[in-house]
Amino acid sequence: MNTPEFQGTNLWERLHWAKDNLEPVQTDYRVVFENDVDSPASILVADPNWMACALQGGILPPVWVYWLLAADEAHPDFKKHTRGYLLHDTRPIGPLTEEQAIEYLIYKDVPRTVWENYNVGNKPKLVICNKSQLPQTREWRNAWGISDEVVSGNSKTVQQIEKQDGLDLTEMFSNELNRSKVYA
Amino acid sequence: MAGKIIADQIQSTTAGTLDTKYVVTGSVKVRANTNNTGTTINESFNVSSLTDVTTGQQDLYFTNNMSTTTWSGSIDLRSVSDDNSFLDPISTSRADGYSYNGSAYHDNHMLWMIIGDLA
Repeated sequence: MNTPEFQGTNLWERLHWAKDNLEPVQTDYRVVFENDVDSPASILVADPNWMACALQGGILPPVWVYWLLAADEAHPDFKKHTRGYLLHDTRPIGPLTEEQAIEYLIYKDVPRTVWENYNVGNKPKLVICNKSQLPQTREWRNAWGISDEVVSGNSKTVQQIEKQDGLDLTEMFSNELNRSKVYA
Repeated sequence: MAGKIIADQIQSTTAGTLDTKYVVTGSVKVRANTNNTGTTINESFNVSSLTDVTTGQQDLYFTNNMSTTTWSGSIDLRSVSDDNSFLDPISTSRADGYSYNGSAYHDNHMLWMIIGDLA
């Protein structure tokens, strides 16, 4: 089924279209990450309806839209979003593979402090694994962490999203950060 | 999209007239049914992901942000227990759900509803 031309259509309406027309996709991938040293590892799973949208293409906005909204929101004077149109009017991204969709989701829903330097340190702060690689019971759940034996060789960076979308994202994001002073 | 009806009001034959803006404003914007460990989303709308944070805590992320961080919502637990559920509006795109009995957190199936204005 082809996706209708959705640029300019409210994202909420697009999600309704997807709910009516796309089969949910349950992914086997899980994202395990450590937000801080005092907390157990968190485990993220993609929503099946969202994954269907990502694989279909033409529905979801580029991930940088969420970054800009997050920067707005982090501003001390934030009351309500005034740039929600970015969600609706920005050209939707094309179809992603399941792996690309998980990467998108990391950039969207995992704290930036985790993924921007995930591979710096003695072990990665974030790993992608299959559901079957997680502990099979909840025993000692509050002490779960990423194994010291995990070594990540993934060198993908945010800049790859820029190339994909043909954007000078570094400059755009840097301007937003300077304005909001969030991560400065 | 086909089949669109544009109307500012809905009129009942017996109960009066209602502005459609109340329907839009008052409808649930995010909903989800998640399993007890926060590792599976059984049913949902406007959700991008779920995070199992620790025992008794799950974080739900939205695809279409809410307009403010002061949205309303409700979370319920699927089974009868001594646990109380509560919902924390962390941001315009994230809600944290907890299951707590006053002394400890416990894993529970969670049923989520978020209401408010969309961004």
